[in-house]
This record gives sequence, C-alpha cells and structure tokens, in this order.
Amino acid sequence: MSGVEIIAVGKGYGALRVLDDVSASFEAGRLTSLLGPSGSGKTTLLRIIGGSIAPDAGEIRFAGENVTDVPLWRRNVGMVFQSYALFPHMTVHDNVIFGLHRRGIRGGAARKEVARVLEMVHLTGLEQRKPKQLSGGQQQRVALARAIVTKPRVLLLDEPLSALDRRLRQEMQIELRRIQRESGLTTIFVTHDQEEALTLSDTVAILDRGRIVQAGRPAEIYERPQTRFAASFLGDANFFTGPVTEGGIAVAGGLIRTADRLPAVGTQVTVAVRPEKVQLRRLGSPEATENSLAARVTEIVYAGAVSTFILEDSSGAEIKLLTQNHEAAAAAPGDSVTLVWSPAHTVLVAE
Amino acid sequence: MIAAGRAYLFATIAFLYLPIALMVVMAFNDSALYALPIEPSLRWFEALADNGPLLAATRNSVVIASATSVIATALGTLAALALNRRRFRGQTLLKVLLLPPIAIPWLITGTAMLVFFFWTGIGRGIHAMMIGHVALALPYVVLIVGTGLQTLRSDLEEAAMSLGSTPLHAFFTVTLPPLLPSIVAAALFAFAVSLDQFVVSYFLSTPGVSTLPVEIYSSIRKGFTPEINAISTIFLGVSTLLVLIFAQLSDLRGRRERR
Repeated sequence: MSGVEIIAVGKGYGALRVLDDVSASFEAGRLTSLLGPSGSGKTTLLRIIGGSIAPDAGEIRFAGENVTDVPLWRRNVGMVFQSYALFPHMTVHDNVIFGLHRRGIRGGAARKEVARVLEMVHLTGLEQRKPKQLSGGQQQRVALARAIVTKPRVLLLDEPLSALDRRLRQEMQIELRRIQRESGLTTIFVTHDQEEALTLSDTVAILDRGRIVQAGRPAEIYERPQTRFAASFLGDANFFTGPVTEGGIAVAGGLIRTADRLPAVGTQVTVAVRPEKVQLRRLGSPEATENSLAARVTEIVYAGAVSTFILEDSSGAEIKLLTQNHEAAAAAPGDSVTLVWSPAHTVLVAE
Repeated sequence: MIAAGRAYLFATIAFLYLPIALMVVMAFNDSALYALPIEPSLRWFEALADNGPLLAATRNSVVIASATSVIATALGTLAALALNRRRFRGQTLLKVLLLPPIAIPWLITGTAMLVFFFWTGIGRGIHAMMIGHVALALPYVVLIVGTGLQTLRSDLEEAAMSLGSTPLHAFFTVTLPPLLPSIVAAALFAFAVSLDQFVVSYFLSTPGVSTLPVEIYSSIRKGFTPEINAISTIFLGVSTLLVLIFAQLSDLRGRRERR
C-alpha cells in the first residue's frame, strides 16, 4: 500500500530548476530516506510533501488522496526540523501538547497522549523544562514527540540528527528506528549522510540535481548502483572505463569481466567495484574466473579494524582497496601486487 | 596597577556624574544662590506646581513621547518583520537606508523637517513634533526588534503551522511572545528618544506650545531659577528608570540566549 505518492513534481526559482519531474512512492508505515548532496533538492521535496512549499507542477497524494492544494496547517503532517524549531517560551509539555490543542483535543485526553509519547521518547519527568534547559539529544526527542503526538499521516524529518555529535547521533539513529517502528508512521527522512541512510531506512532514494536517480532497499542500492553518481555518493567505488570487447571490457591493465549483460562490442562502458570486494594477492596466480589487475601500492591508511590501500594500476589510475586487519600488513608501499575480484562484483553503471 | 585602574574608573564615573549630582543636590537646597551648607527643602518642587508653562510643557512632552512610542513601535515592528522575514526587491537598500538617519546630526534633520513641514503645509506644533519624533525613533525600533527577530528561528512558524496553526495564529503564539521583550525595549527606547529630544522639538514648537527640554532652555535664557534643577531632577529620574528597565529587558534576553 502506498502511503505517500509524488507524481511529476517540479519546482524552480527563476531560472534555477530545483526539482525536475520527480515521481516517487513512499510505502505506508516504512521509513524512506531521501539521500543527496546539498543542492540536490531533497529538502525542497520534503517541504513540498509537507506543504510548506507549493510545487510548480505535479501532485502529492496521501493514501491516494490528492493533497497538493491542502495548506500546511490542514495537511496533518509531523515535521522535525534540523534546528528542532522548539518553541523557546514554552515548556516541553506545552510544546508537545500544542498540536493536540490545535486539533481540539484538550484536558485529560490530551495529557494522556503527551505522557504516552514522552514515555516513548524517554523524556518522562522533564515536562516542565524549557527547551534551553535540555541537551541537544533531549531537544531532538521533544521535537520528535511533538511531531508524532498528533498521529500525522506522514512524518517528515529534515536532517534531524546532523546537529548532534557522532556518538549521540548513532544512539539517536537506533532510537529513531525504534520509535518509527512502534508508531508505525510513514516516515520520510532527509539526509546527506550515506551511513545514516543505510542504517535507518527501509528504502533509500538518491537525489541528484533535482531528480531521483535510484530508489530501493539499502543493500540493493549499495550492491547494484545504476549510475556512477549513485555508486560514488553511496559508499566508495573504483571505476573502470573502456570499450566492450569479446568477453569483457578492455582496460589499460587487461580485460575486466562482469556478470552484467554488456552492450554491443565497441561501446564505451563504465563498471564500478566496491573497495572491500577487491583482494590483494602477492603470490600465486589468480583463478581463471576472477578479474585480476597488476598494481603498485602507493599508500596504506591504517584505521584500526580496517586498512585502506591506495594503489596505482599500470596506467597510473588510482584504485582503492579496503581490507580487514586480520594479520600483519599484506604489503608495503612500493610493492607490486595483483588485485583480484569477482565478475559478480563488477557492476555496470551509467555515466 | 590595579589601584591606578580603579582610580581612573572612579575619575571617569565622577566626571560623568558630578555635574548631575550637583544639580540634584541643589534641587533640594533651600537657597536660590547655591549657598552652603545645604538646607534641605522641597520649596523648588512646590514652586513647580505653580509654574504653568513648565507644567504644560511637561504634559506635552509626555503626550508626544507616549504617542511616538506607540506609533513608532507599531510601524517599526512591522517594518522589522518585513525586512527580516520576507524577500522582496530593494530589501537590502531599505535596510541600509535605515542607518543614516541615526548618524545625521539632529540639527540638520530638524532644519530639513522644518522646511519640509512648512512647504507641505503640515506646519509646526504638537502634531508636527509627533511626526518628527516618530521619524527619529523609527530606525531604533526597527534595529532593536530586528535584532530580537534574528535570535528567533524563522522555522518556528512553519513548525506551528505543521501542527495545525493558521499563519496568523502561528505568528501570535510562537513569534510574538518570545519577541515581546524586544518590542517593549524598543517602545521604551522610542519613548526616551522623544522625551530627550531637543533640537527637532525646538524647531517644530510654536511659541505657546513646547516640550519640557525646549521650555527649560527658554527658562534658562530668561534667568535661572532652582526650579529648573527640580524639574530636571524629576526628568532625570524618569529617564534613568526607562534606561534601567531597557537594560534589564536586554540583559534578560541576553542571559536567556547564553543558557
């Protein structure tokens, strides 16, 4: 069942096209991330769904109902802002009860709801505090409680965790996931943090320059990126470009095979390989089914559990390799090595 | 070193307050000739009650200052909202144009107003002084309220609307209350600007109708009486009170910010 649908939405400011013919469907009760670099139009899209911004073209539907012309204050959405936007002169309790009062829910019923969501976000006992007397993480929870207490048709989150420090952010990601599951709200989450998108979401939609370039489950997008942008924005990737030949792609160091279907011989194509799929071999020849490439180690970046090897192939192009530090370093800078990886991990991407 | 610094500080304060202190003390001295020792007396304050022109001027001053404060605060707050929350053509120019009136000498502003009011038929009198004072106070109001607005995030209203507030309700419930200290501070400042104004008032007053500073000035020219000390003391008290309330409001805001 579809919770939120956007159909051919466009938005521009003067000559600047912020969103261009964007269509997407957000499953009911699921958490979808809109992932993109700044300027990709993700926040604009979120605000169009919420009703803060009117689109130039297209339609927004909640559970099949066209809400494009319903103003923000009647659209029944829950919004959490990057700055939290808590009302500074009101207590936590008054902030959270605000939306209920606006919907005519008062007295005991309203207080019961407030108590329920404050318990859900673990803020019971802080009802009488003012926002300024709370930590960043607590303010974040108040903003969330305020947005979900009215049981909105869709919960919209605009980079809600970006103001928190790393540790707290990871804690809140888990919390947010739990609260989203418990409340069962259709949730759309805007972020530029790929790790956050992968960890939190049921579905990730990648935006680039006003278009959704790919949408799908996190693993699907990570393992099977369709474009160079998707591959490089979500995670790290090595790219090889060359003409299609019989049985593979001709590159500087030899032939690269892929499990994907290749176009006609002679066509220029690009494939992406994730750094952790590449293995380093010093001795012995690679198996016939594997891709292999000669390279020279230029740098090793040690990061505790893992190390990143920066290498150079025969044409001088940079290749990255990520490896678990099981034992002592497999190679040193300057060493000539052989890189091997499976054709199944060699993904054909569009430029 | 610290002792020298402290002495310097005391000297500065003394330099600021000694003339004023002398005036206040003499207001309570029985002698008209500043004779010592001081004989405490309220006779100059009593004499004030019989001084018709001075009382009338005081009443004018308070009326003009109150009206200026209300009008300038209302207009200035609206202008500050437009300048800080809306986007429109010429916005930056308008913002910049607010500043020169603060720097232009009052003598020039006063002359310009006199000429302009004469030319347009507005003339002189209480109404002219009110218009003049509103014009003088307006930039201060816009600046003070604008500063208050800048500490207030603009997505508060959006948040309120997402929770079901109409734009008007959102403004009155989430923007206005936190902004109130700034607005009150601006109103007090506008009141003080009008009350203390001499040059513009002097140019725009008519012989029968003047404000307290103008009246004090003409009394001094006619011949000094300690009544002037008395009325000045009262005037001083009121001004100081306003400034203290203003400082208290700004400080409150500042402290809330820091937390």
